[in-house]
Amino acid sequence: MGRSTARAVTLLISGVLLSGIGGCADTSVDERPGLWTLFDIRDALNAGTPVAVTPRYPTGINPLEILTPAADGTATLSVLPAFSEGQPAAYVMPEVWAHFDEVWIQPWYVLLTAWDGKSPNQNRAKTSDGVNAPPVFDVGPRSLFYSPLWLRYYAVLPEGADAGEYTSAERIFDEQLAVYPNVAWTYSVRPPDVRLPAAPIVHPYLQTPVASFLTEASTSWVDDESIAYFDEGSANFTFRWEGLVVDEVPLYELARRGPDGAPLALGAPRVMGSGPPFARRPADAPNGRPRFGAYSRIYFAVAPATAAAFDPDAYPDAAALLTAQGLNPQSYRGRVATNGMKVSDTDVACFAATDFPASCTWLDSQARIEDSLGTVNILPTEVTACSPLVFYAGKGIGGR
Amino acid sequence: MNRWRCRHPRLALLLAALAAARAAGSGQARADTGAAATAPPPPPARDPDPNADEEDPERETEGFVLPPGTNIVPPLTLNGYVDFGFADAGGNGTSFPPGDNRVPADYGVDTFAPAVNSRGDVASIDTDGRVTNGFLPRSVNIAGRPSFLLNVVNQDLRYQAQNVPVMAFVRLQLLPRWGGDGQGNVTPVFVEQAFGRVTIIEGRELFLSGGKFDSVFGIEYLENSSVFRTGITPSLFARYTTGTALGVKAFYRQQIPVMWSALSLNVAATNGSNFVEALQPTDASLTGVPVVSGRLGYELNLPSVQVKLGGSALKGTRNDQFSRQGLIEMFGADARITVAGLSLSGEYVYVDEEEGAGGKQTGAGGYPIASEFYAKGFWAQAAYALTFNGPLRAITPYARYERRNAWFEGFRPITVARVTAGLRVELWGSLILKGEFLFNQELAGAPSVENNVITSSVVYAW
Repeated sequence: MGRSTARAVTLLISGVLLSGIGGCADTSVDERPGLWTLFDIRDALNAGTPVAVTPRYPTGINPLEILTPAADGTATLSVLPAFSEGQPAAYVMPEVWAHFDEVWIQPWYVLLTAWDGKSPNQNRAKTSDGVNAPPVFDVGPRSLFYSPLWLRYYAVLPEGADAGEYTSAERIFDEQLAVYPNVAWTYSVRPPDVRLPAAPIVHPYLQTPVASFLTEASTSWVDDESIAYFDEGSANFTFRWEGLVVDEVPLYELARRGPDGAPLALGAPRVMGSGPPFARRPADAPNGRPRFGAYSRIYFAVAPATAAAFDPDAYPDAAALLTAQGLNPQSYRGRVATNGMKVSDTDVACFAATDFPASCTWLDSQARIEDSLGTVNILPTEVTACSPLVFYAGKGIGGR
Repeated sequence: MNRWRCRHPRLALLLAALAAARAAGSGQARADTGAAATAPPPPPARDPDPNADEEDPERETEGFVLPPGTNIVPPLTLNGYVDFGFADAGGNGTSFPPGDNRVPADYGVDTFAPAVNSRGDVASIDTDGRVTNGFLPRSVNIAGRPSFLLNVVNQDLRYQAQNVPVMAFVRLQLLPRWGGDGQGNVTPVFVEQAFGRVTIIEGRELFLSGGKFDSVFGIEYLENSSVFRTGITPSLFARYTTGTALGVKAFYRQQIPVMWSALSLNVAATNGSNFVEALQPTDASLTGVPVVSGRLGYELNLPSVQVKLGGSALKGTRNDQFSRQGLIEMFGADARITVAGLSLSGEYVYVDEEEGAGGKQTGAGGYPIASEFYAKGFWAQAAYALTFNGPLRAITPYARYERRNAWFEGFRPITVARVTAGLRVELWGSLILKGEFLFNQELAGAPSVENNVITSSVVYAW
């Protein structure tokens, strides 16, 4: 039976029966899970539409926040200012999910010619032109199960094998190559015309370099298809081996209550948490390299009406006080204080106080937000993001 | 309505009692699917498709004298069978290749390939801790260890009212299983079918059914029962077409005697599709919108050759998620030819599921994502029945080839094939012995894995 004939039969039967049933208007809320990779975000950038619009995050995320368009039609990945643990931070946001309760790590294969457990990268397989063979993975960006959060594996090629022929994970399994787990790593696939900003890549406020590991590569392989990617660093998230589920941390979007009681974002830099909300978990950041941040859920942190973000240009006296104390005023730009603004006569605007910045109750760390605002003012959204930190504790993250 | 029963209920009761006694004495193997309403199916060895008359009509007789050979069925009949088997699957009993850490584990392989019994249960679905997303069959949890299995304890209850054209049918199945490491023993009870059927017009093959009943899509559902299935394991497409569904259905068949032919139409509106219960809940509509399905069939019933052709279609909302925008569409074509003991049958199936919303719900639980999904392919089977007199009733060698191409959105399409070969032996009309080999092949997209199966089944019916 031809497909057209079958479809005709289908439609006939459907029409007859559904017409008799009636009352089938869709009244359910569409909560289908969504994933926006850089391919989708670039499309949204071109269309001028937000991504990840959900009931609890109704504005969604403006693609202009994630990508900076260029005049020639290309775009660069934006470095987003943030605060974490009371210090300036920055991150990139190459992927966004909506309505995902959890995401999982996927395997990413790096090809070797031989196994050396102490220094595996010394045996990277080379292609015929002498460069490292591109990595291979299996779950591409068209799947909702795609994840930029990988567990890197080393796959050892047979002696004499042509590394250029290994362009799918299927072949690794078919040939039963020896495979060794490495570490968690964040790689984001990208369209070829979405690039990193020109070097040096700097913190948008402090203008000092971010992590040197933030790099781009032109080739990886998924199902025999070449795809470019960003390298956003290793060991910047944790996961549970049971189910390979990635641990999430909160990414606080500071907000005030709107007229209807719903949160209205202040537009200030977000605050990256270091552990589950209210877990009081100390930040795990050995040698200044946070093991968190690459996967986060956006929470509204609803501050009082007096909350405001500090702008050193609007408060030159306060900026001068910071400079006098040896502090860079730019390190306070966008930092939100619960008492930054005077609303009633009894309020004291801390930005204008003579003992600034001590006069302010800052919302620049997970602990301070949770202590100041309490559970009723911390509202989870359906939106999660790949948000690897590239700047932490006031400086670019070093090494891998 | 059956006229003679109506006029002479006492005689009907007497005849029914006599027939019941005769049936009990004969120990004839028979498991009524509810589709074959009154006449016991012919021995499967002589007709590998014993339930071929999908809605066998009430056979009406005139006067008080029954034609020779007329089989009287008592109002209440209890039939059933026990399916006992022994199976050995290759590797670890799954289709998951060692070292594969992709998530979800069930998207890149055919988890249904290592089937061991007529329900399509597989040797194992153990992913070694990896996340799955609800595309899994039921499992007997024997992994790669040879094991005896009590596949099904099946009990049918059928009641044909004496004075009204109504029939009720219930099929209960007990599935004794080891639940897996640390899970102990479990014996779920499945209400496989439970429906009432009304004969609308006397003398016409027009039936309306309501309840939980067999699929109307394709032909493989006709072999759901271990007794009726020629071989042991279902095809790679049974997961889409053989699940029972809850709703209403209508069947009509018009005989065309001058052409030795008949046309039939079987349509249903149900909670879900005819995916097996492991893949979707059947007992509630998750979207409030029924799934409609149907099959248009043609039969050519010559004295020596029987040909049956059909086209099936299904459309509605996926019942493994909550959005009315998540649609499912299926169509298929089937053919059967029976001549001189040789039975050829085959089916083509196409499945198209749009992405759903709000997580995925299956008969086995909840999962994260109702992914967009496609599948297509075919199976073809040949069986030749050698019949005998005496305790050995029939020997039927059979073989089946099938090829399935399927993909979840964003995942590499996989193509798998399977060759099934086996032998069926019937003894005394109530004992069926079957042995079967399954040669599974991963042709493309899925890593090759050791997942061939040797399985056997002994079916005793009452």
